[in-house]
Amino acid sequence: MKANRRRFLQGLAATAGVLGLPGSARAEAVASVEHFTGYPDRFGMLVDLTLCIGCRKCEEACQQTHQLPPLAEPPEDQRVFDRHRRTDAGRYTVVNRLTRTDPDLPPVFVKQQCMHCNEPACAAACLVGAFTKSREGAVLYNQDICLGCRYCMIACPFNIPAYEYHNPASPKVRKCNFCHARLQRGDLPACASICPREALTFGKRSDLIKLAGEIMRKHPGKYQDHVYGITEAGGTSWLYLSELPFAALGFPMNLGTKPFADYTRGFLSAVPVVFVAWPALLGGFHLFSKSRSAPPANDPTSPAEPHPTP
Amino acid sequence: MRSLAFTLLTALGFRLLGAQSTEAPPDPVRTMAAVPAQRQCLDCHTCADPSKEAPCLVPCPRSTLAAGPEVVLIDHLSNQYVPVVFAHKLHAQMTEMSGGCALCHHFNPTHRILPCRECHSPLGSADLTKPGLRGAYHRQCLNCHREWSHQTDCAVCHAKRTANYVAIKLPDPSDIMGTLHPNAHEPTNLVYQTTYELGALVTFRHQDHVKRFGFRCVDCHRAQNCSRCHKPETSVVRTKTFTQHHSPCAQCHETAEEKTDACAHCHSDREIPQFQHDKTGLVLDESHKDAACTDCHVGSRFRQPPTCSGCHEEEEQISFPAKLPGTRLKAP
Repeated sequence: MKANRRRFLQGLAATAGVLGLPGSARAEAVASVEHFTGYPDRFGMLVDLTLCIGCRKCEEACQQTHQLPPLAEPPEDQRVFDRHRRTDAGRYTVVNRLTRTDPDLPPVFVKQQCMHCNEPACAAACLVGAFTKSREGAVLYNQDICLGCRYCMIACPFNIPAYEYHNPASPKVRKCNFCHARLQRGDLPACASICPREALTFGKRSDLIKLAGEIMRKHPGKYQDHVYGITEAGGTSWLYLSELPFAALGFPMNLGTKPFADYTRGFLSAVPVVFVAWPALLGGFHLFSKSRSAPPANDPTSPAEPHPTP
Repeated sequence: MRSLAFTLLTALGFRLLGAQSTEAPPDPVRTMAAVPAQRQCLDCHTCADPSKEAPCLVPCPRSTLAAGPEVVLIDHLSNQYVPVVFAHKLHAQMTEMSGGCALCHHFNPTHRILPCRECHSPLGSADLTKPGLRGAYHRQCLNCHREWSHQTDCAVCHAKRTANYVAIKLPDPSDIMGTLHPNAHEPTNLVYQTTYELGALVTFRHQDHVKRFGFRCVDCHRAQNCSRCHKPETSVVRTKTFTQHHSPCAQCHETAEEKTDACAHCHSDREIPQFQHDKTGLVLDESHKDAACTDCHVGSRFRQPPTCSGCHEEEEQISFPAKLPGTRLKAP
């Protein structure tokens, strides 16, 4: 009996190995979708869109910090705003311009990058746990274990992760990492440190939420009565203040307040039960019933079964 | 009480005159490193014993403080950029009509004008509510400049110290010295388009008002946005209440009362031509030229016949319009 169960578990482990799910990686992936209230001192960024003037210094600084190819269009070239751009494998942040209905009013500029969700959908979707939420608040990507399935790109509600389609040999997923290396050195993220109008305020997320409230109180009527990112998709590290409705600026408004991981948590937590506990239980029943019904072999004390006579 | 106030004001006036004549003229070009001179209590307080409850502050230090610098050179990052030449006086002059010194020197304590750097650190600040020096400058300057020019090019103010950027010619501080803001264009008449059905057009005789009553710009133009002149079409039109709309006129005219028949006094379906007093029958000759309108039109009631008996000691029948009124003036 014991030898049988050991064999069964060994077989199961072998199957998992064939499927490419090393036990340790699998355990991390499961851990990353588990609910937690977040590291209390995690950082965030408050973007005041009324201050952004579209100088694109943040884009330039981002390219330099991450050793990305320099901007195709120099920051002072306004023609770049003529079309809507999105993040790709060669740029982790973009600033887009939205003209107002009254052309005499200055346009609104919207900076876009990874929002660094409290409970990231990319991490929940990742099969191998290549995404982790760091203590500082950054959502980090581990290119060494990435399978290249691009589920993260489908899962992300903000369409941020990008794929190196130009690199067929070893393609990787690319996105903003909140300048994690700089944070660990005690520096500000590159974009925040360069912004001339300090439209980006870096700080502890909890402090930034208070700050956003204070700014709105100081300027009654100037801002939308909403800070984007406090609750969206369970909350994000990047928070936005705006004069115009967020829907008009292209922010997704249908994300709800529940972390995306919550939608699959019930199902995913049942998977180990279905695939591990049930076979073990049923296999156990089977072995048990077999051992009860089968005659013990080579037992001299038991009467030999009469052989049917031909 | 009145005499006390008069004494104080006179004393203040003398003190100021004295201060102007004895103090050395302020340095017209101030780099941000310069330290403002010591001030006296009466520079900012109008009374001798200001208290926390009744600080009796002058509304803006411009009237009592020595003039600010003509030009400020913003040169903190001179290793990266050519210093920015900020025409302080030109800007300060115009803030008289748009928020005063406090427009930029916000949260300034009363004793002296602080340079931006004393609160906004060049290294940024731990207090998230307070931007660093770079943020403070760019927030201030671009608030107005971008409003009418829509220009956000760094090179508009900064020439970068590298070969890649074409060096732009910056104004020499000595070119700006002594220059004043060009005189604002003063309209003769203004015709306002209103929403009043019975007479949509209101003619305002701007030049008449300025000349006749000796108004200064700031008497009417208060809290105005720079783009009101620099790009009038972009100036934000706010929805005003009836009272707010009429308050500039209602200070003198009794016409702007809701539910009166006085609307037609200003509102008309056509532009009203220039007012000529002669056509009323009374030529404003030598003896009347210098009288204030309200000397005759008591209480600014322009529609009622003016009273002459206030000055003229004729038989009480003198009235206008009629024959020319009497010649004898009241004995003083």
